[in-house]
Amino acid sequence: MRTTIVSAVLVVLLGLGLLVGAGVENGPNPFITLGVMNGAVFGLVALGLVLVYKGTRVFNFAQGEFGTIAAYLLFLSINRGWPYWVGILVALAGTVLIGLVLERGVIRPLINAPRINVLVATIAAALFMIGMEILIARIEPRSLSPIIAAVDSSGNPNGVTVFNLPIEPQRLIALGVLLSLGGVLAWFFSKTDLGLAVLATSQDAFATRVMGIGIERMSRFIWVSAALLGAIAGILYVPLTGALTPAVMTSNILIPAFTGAVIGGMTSLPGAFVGGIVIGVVQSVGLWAGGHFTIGEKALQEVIPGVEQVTILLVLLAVLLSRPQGLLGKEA
Amino acid sequence: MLMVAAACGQKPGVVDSTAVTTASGEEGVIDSSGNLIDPETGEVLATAEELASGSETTGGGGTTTTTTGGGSSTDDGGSDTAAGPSGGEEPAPSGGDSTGVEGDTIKIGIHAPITGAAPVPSQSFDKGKDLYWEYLRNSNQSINGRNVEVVFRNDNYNPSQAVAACREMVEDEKVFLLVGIAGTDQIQACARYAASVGVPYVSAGVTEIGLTTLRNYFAIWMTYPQQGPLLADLLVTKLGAKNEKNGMVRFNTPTFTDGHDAWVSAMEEAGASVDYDRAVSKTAGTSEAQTIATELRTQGIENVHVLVSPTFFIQLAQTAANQQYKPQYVGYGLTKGLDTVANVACKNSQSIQNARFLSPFPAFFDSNRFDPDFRKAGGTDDIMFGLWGSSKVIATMLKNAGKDLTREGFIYANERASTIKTGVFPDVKFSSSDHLGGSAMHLLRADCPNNRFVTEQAFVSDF
Repeated sequence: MRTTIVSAVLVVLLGLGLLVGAGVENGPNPFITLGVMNGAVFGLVALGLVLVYKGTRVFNFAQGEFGTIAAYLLFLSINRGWPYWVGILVALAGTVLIGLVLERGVIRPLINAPRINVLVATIAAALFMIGMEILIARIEPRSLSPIIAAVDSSGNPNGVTVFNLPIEPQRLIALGVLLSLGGVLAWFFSKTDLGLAVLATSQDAFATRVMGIGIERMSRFIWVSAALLGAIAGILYVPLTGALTPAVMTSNILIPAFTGAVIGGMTSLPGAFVGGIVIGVVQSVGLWAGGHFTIGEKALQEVIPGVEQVTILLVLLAVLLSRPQGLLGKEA
Repeated sequence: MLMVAAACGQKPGVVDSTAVTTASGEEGVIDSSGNLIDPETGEVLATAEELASGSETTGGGGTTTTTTGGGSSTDDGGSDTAAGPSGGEEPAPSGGDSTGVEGDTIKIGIHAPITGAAPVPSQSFDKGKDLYWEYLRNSNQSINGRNVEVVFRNDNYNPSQAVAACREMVEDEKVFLLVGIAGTDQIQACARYAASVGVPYVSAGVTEIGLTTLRNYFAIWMTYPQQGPLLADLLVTKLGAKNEKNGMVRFNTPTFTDGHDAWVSAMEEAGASVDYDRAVSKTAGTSEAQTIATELRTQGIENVHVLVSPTFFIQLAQTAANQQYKPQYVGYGLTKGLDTVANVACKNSQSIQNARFLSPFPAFFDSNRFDPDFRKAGGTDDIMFGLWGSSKVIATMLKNAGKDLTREGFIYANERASTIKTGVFPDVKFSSSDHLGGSAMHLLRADCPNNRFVTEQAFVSDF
């Protein structure tokens, strides 16, 4: 019920924003649209963060690097001349394997350790992965093509145009995937035995074990799923950036995704979706406002450098002060 | 007069824990901006400019002694209390600090952002930093009987890390001089640190803020404020900017302010409008690039001056191309005109086709036209070519200082030396009142079908 209300409020706010901006020259509407599209990618990564948090009560700082590694695997596969879809399969399988290794080699030994230890371990894992990327792929930027090119061979756009904003097919795919995954995961955690077992493990591991549920199996499932979500986000996002470099997902996506997850509620998968969209829109519209509005003779961006980041901070503060568990969060 | 005492405790942001005492009795430490601050309260006791120029000193004459690690220098300092290089004649320094000069070797230190902003092949730096000096050795040439050994450090596009790297090269590696290849904030921070310890600093042409008063600072190509009018001239004369919409996208770091202001003023003087002027955070990523690309496209900006990192430029160009928007990009040298940028930005959508950037050295593709020795010596890309060119300038500067090489003599001699000609970099000439030695630039153009830059015009001082 709460999910429906919050989502409805969000949609109404977006609608109002679009309505108000409709008549403004160089107005906010393309930027609201762009924010929704960017937010879809933040939401995808946030889904992985929330999944791990729901299952283990750990902030996973390695989530971004699952995506970067998947993008590198896709790049290497394409460079070997393999079809794109084969590259995607290689990227997904390779990243899942890394998720398995991470779970077995780093997370499992710390399964009974304080959560702060596991959190630090995920930071170490992220740094290790970034180091390996630099070592193997070096730091030169690489160009990764999208699943469907933004323009066809004749130079005509392949996507759609909304509010004078051409939207590439890759973005539409990302939005579709986010919607689908958000729905599937929400259903999984509320309706399936395995999903409920994952939640039970996060609440009381001892009681869960007494009930005959293997917490090791649950841990493995969570980390493999998180790696898979990260990989999907990387495959969809990196071709949009123009440059595949080491740590590209961590440096570009992880912080907004974390913020989105916190705004949405760290325990809510629909919240991750909503939070990601909120961050995307606030960032994009904040940046637009920084150049559009003036205070005296100066543009807002000159008076408040980084105005979009300040806006995100204010939104985060407002949400946490009024609802500390996030928009859709609750105790699992 | 500054005196260095024993090291003391350190506040966050303090980069030099060596205690410094001014003649007025104030004691403090050097922070990341090169200012002298109170270690307890953080209060600024003397600015970097005051420290560098000696204007903080109150006594006349006397001796200035600076000791950092093992390096030491002593110079008769009465006349050095004047701010900045003086226009008047002064006697040649006798003796001085020869740290970094041992036997037949001169050790120099270079810092550059291998990571953080300009993702460039690190192996190019590894090989390129030594290429010219090895060439000299192999062809039995020397710097007044000496060879040069290069120490290289990655500054990660971060001023604090740059100062730490420079400090390490000065104190531990005991280099004779420091060289900043790219990265405005890092160059400014390191140059100020170098000034505080009396080490010559040879630099890329970047900002002038806080640098023109440093007597140890030498820019070996045109600074951003000097390139501003040249770029405006290019836009108006060659690219038809007078009748088009023009814009600028820059990082909101204070060290880009003079480069921004110079270009905007020059555009206005040339009768061309600046219709879009956007500052963006140094940490901006793809999301910000998409928003800015959307703004540029919706406002119909045809010429875009980019004063941002190469990574952000690639993101901007790619996201703009995804919206079927490909403006004319222009900018200052040098990092955005590297082939590695063209190689990525051109591949998917030819997003920077015909982008034009000023550069201190010609495109690698044309290197044989300018210096055939470069490829013969094993040079294989433009980063190496840039390092080759800057090494040639530095070699001449070291030669100018004579066999009895000291830091003071190096500065003195190069203020009075004749024009430095390398065939790669435009001519460089310093004077005692002007340490900004650049006189011209090369104009590079992106040749996207071949994923590279080509030299459109060489040694150009106007269009």
